[in-house]
Amino acid sequence: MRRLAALAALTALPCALAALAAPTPARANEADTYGLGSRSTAMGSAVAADAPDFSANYYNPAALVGARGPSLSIGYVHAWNHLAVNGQDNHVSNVHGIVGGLALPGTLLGVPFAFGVGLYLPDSGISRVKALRQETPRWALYDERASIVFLAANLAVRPLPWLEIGGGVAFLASTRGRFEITGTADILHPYDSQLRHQVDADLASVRYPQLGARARVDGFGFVGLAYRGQTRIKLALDAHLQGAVSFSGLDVPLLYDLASRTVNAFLPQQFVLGLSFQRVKGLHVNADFTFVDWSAFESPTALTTSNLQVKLPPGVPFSLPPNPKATVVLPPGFKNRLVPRFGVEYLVPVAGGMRRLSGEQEDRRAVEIPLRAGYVYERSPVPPQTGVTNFVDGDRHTFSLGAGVTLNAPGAVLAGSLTLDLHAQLSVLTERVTHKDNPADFIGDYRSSGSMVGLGSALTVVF
Amino acid sequence: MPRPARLLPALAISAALGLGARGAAASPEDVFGFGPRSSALGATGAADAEGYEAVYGNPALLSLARSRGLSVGVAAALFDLRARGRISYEPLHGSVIGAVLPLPFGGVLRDRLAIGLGFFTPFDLIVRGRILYPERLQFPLADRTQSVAVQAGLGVDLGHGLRVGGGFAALAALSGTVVVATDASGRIGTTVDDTLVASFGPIVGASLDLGESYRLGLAFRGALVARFDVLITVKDLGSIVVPPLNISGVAQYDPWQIALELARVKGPWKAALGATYKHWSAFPGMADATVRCPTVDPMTGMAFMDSCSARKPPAPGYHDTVVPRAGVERSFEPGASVAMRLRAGLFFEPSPAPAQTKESNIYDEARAAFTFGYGVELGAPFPRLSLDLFGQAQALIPRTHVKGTGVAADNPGRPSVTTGGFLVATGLSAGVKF
Repeated sequence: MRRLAALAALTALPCALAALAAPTPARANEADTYGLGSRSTAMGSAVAADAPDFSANYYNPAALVGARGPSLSIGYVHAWNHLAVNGQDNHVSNVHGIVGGLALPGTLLGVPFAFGVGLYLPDSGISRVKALRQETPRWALYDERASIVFLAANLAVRPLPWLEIGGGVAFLASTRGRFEITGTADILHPYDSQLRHQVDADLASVRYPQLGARARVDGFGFVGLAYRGQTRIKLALDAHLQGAVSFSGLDVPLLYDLASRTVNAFLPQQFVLGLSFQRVKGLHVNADFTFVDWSAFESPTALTTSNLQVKLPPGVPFSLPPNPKATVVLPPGFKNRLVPRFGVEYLVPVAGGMRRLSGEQEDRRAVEIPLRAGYVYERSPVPPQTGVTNFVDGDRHTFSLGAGVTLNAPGAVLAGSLTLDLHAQLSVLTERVTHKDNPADFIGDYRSSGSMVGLGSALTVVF
Repeated sequence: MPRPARLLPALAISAALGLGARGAAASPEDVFGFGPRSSALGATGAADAEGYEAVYGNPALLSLARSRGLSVGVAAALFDLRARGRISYEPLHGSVIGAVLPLPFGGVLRDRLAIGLGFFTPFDLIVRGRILYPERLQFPLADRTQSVAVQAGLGVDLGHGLRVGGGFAALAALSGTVVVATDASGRIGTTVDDTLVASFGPIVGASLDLGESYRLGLAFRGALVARFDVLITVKDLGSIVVPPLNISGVAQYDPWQIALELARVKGPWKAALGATYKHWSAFPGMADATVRCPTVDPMTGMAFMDSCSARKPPAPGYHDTVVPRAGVERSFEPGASVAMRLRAGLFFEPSPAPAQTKESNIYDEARAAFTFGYGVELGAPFPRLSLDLFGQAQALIPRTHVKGTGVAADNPGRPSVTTGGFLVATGLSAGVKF
């Protein structure tokens, strides 16, 4: 009875951790766009039922408890984006950074239990923001979305021999702030301007939930379910300017207020069903099907209101600009999508004698070579851009390959294994032709297409 | 001639957008200590930190861990800071996550290495970046604690009682540009490109066992600076030249510091005594100049020859400090599988700030802190669980700031202000070894 109570309490742990994370604003990340970890990326990210390493912190937290032993991973990824409109590269930022994490399985109250941390740290910055007009063409699903830190912590338990449950939180940030500038701007001698500023801003913490479950199916392998919460970043800024413009000895008092509200990027909630066929020794054949709730996508266009008050003395030789009208943000109208992912891994034992590994039931060759491949098809959720907005996108086909080398029990120092994984990834965004309804449209008709090339590696130690 | 009147609104828009990815941070552990045990022991740790708390106290001591450990908890603090009346500051409350992993190598590396992670996250924010006009009555101390703490470290046991370790603490800083220019339609438009970048401060340490009962610990923590730098550039406005506007400053700052401690680490009575040197004299002040005098004329590329009388914020004039600390822990074992620990400590944090005799009213006062705590740990046959809690009361030593001559008549600090107040902090953490 006491064990039953312990089981119930432990099973509730991951759910409670996830429940702590209200679905608050946040941003998209590299893992969603390219994949997290060299092994998982090489397998087309089709690992919701087969991620027993740090990448489970993104794909399915439940799988953490399936880790063979404590493991540490660190690696590097680089993705080159070549996305073009009318044949001209749009200079969508490349994505590169350090990836890594840990998985710590153990036992608590007699129940298998695990803790994990996953991280992607862009080396170009934690996040990046570009504010563009509504009509400016933008690759909204790729530009800046992936250049953001991913940090997640998860717990997992195995309450029953065939069932694993996990959950946790991912951490991101949104911004709210206010600033003031006061003083006098000297137009004729600008460096004599007597201006100063004050800032009162918060970088607010954002937590969004991740949940997962994985079940062992005898004679087949694993079935996994995962849920990732919707996230987006909100930017709320207020500005107050009080001062004067000094022009030819004439000081013109000025008061200006500005309020800006922006949803800068968006990661839709996702439901994943994953299958991993592991009947054949050394062979993993995986398929994931992800429902992506793109219909909730919010436009990244800024909502700005402002109010200018200036008392012009008589005879002043310039006129005032009118207060601008508020931007009317058009609904983007994105469509929900079902994304299929496929991956395969075959472990080739190549050299050395048989080694006994900690946490393994069967002996393994001293040197093994895992070979991997994957494919993903992501139909674009973006509707035809016939009006004012210009969210540029296309259907995306992603092919990936990977290989590694595993040294099992390489010496007295390490009873586990040491693995170096490499992967390469090619995404092709098919050409899309946009015809505008208005022949006088400022942007006009255009063609868009592109490709992405990604390379990465990871070094993993399993103790 | 409409351009001058459009200029400042355009700048305001662009500056507001420029703050789009604001970010900065600092370490509340500099004020309260890190972890419930350390916080209860007078914020010591260079010689006596245990578990994940060693990522901040002294990473070398991570190598003492023999079991995987995971801790989660909460912490909170209240501020009653007074300068001619109480100045309102939001309380601090956040969550703590800590983990330690002894790396289970074999052979010569057996029981030699361990890594640790430590996070403190305020519930509703990552960092508060508040830089107010200097004449406003203010205590930056309260806002400095409103920040995430992210730390990781590795400890190595070299044998013969000698341990070394290293790690880092991470914050976030903002770098960005805003370009204001006329677009194809003749309207003033802005382009914003902001990047939130990570800012790291190293933490390295060493410890030496002095016999079986005593340990000497030394830790160096690098300066942790969270700046924001948004440069606003205005161009294509004809003959009108606008200086680059720097909406910038230091939102959070921890000086580099060296902690030296001696601890008794065996027996029912454990104790630590030490001091921390803090290099506050390098603090540049929070506010930067909005307009900076250039060395090269941006219009001609030649040496800048025009007049420049843009205002500069005064230097803060901080000086280095030494913080003495002491902590004591008494263990009881009422049963074979239960250990209870009572803890108490003291520290005195001198203020690095001078008396505010000029235009500024940015107060920071010496603090005398009393700390206490309690811990209970279960052993076999029970699950290896632990519970720790702590409390802190810090009293600001009252000081009277008398304004000198030449201070503006409307300065709120005239003719003098007496400051003081209290900080109260508490926290609770539950841990498991597995």
